[in-house]
Amino acid sequence: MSNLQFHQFRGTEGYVASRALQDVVNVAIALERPLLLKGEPGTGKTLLAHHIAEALDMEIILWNVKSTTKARDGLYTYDTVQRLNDARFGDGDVKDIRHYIKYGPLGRAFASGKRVVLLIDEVDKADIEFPNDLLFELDEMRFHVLETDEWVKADQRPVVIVTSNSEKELPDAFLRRCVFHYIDFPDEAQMRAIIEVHFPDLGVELMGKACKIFFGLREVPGLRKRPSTSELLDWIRVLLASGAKLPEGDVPSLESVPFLGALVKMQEDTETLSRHANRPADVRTAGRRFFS
Amino acid sequence: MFLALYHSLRALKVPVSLTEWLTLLEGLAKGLHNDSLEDFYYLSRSLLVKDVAYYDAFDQAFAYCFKDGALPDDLATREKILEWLQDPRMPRPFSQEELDRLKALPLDELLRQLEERLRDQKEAHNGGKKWIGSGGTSPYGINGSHPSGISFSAERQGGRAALQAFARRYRNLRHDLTLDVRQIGVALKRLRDLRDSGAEEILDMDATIEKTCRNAGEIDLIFGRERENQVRLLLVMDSGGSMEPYRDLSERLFSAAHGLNHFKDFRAFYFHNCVYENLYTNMETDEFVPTAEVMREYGKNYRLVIVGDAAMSPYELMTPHGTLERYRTSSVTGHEWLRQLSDAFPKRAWLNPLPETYWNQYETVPTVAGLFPMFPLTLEGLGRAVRQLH
Repeated sequence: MSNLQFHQFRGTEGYVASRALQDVVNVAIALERPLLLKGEPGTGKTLLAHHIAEALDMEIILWNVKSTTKARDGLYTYDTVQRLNDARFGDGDVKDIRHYIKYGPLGRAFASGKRVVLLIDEVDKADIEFPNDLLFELDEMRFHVLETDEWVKADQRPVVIVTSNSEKELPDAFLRRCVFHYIDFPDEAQMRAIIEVHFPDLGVELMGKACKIFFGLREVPGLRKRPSTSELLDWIRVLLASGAKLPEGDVPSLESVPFLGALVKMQEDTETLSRHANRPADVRTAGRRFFS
Repeated sequence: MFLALYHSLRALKVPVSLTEWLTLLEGLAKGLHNDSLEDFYYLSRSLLVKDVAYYDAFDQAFAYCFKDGALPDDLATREKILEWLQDPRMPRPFSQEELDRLKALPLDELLRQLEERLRDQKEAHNGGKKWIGSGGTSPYGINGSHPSGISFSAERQGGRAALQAFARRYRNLRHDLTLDVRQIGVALKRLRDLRDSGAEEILDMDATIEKTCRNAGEIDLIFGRERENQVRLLLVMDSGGSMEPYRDLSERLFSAAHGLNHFKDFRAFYFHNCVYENLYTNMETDEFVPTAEVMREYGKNYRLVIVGDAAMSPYELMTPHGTLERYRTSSVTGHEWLRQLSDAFPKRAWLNPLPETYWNQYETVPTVAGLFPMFPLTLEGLGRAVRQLH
């Protein structure tokens, strides 16, 4: 089957992967099972697939799942209208039905001949039966094209990455076939490593302050949407571009943090923050280090 | 050594299947654990556990099996009980009067007493009538002759086990077990009425061929409308009071119906105890809509599903002003409102979270069931309700 070595994915220059994440990626590749990733939004689920493709030097095929996506769409569509039109106006090779069979993302991944990375993004957006409808295709890595009575079979089983935001629960039969990993939110050390990858020239001081404010924000109770890694990176990018300074001192006040909108995006959360910032000093909340 | 992990996980109710276990063995055969405990940990976790909610249980089981960790509490209790039950004795027979008296012991009482025993019992007691043991007339243990006791054995001998604690091997096969969101969703999906709707944008192949033939080969494309589910669902839920124990269940039903994206329209209302002149859109903030308006607006076109235990005091159903609700002014009885609702909605069902066997214990349940076809809020009951609503 696979002649690839185990322990081949170790993250890339642009992506810091924890030991656990490296391990599960390699397990999924070696066992040739779909890798199901869950985790807080902005923890890099989708990005991981791109970097696996980069690290293993494979092509990546994207399948963005939407609420209207059907399992069939991933395999192929038969463009009848085009064929009839061609027949009417004498264009194209109408005799050969193959010209009008268009592969979907899954179909392209199977037919590609090379080993590719297939990303099925946000699988939970679709109908609840969607993952079940793909069980056979993902197990056997082949499907039948009715119109031509041919089988499309993957010579090289693609590396399948499935991401989910747990909007809907996935069927057990699907879960049983997956390798599962929950991406934890990075701790401060990991976060520093991530920032360093993206902004190698960031000063130690700015890095320290930014992390402090960021993790402080995440600790504020009652936030509807806590800022995520991708938002932190955007925020730092804005800070660098504008040359704005972060406030001095151990306990920065809310007003003095520039471009807070890059981190906190819901009106409700902004209000929560200002309430939190204006509350009277209280021994019971002394453990909360920021915005006092 | 590895099987211990499997059994610990199962004992902690982590849903590990044999398929997943075999996949793990395949991974081990391929050397994916890389001869390191840490790699083995990630390997086994990613293959055996498919929900972050079980990560903790996995850690406990893993620590127990490979790092001499302490056995988690509930697991320890179980092992202790099984130890007491070693070397079982044969049942001691009951006389007929004793049997009748004991059959009356309700499950709640049994469970409460079992908790006490678990607190107090320190060693094995066989052949007795009080402690958890074997061969006695105590309601707890194995091989006992108590007619409605709690058995800890998978093989049922002796009396009729009211609850086969810890031996629920067939749990997932039971058809009437309470539901998770996905199962409810799947059951509700059967509630559909497909009709053509929307713009004409789907190619109707048969009609196109037919027309093209009539045109002597001149191609004429015929487009049709997409078929869409026409079912509109109105969910009315009892909330608070006697429904409190079933709140979780009602919420699951709500989120399944809400998240399904399957119905043409979906509305939900709440009531307390019984339906009176108002139905609430939000119980906490007292936002409500007059029931008469709901009937005018939604009657006939919507399928009505009421969720409630229908177990109220008879006065709440039958007496004018028979409620403690704050805004009640009219003197129409709850029963009359329910009758009007049942008239307004020809397609209706009542889902009752109470087990079906309890229904006759409450005077009001059969009365309500006379107006609304009533089904238990289980997978099987939901299936019947959906058929009724068609």
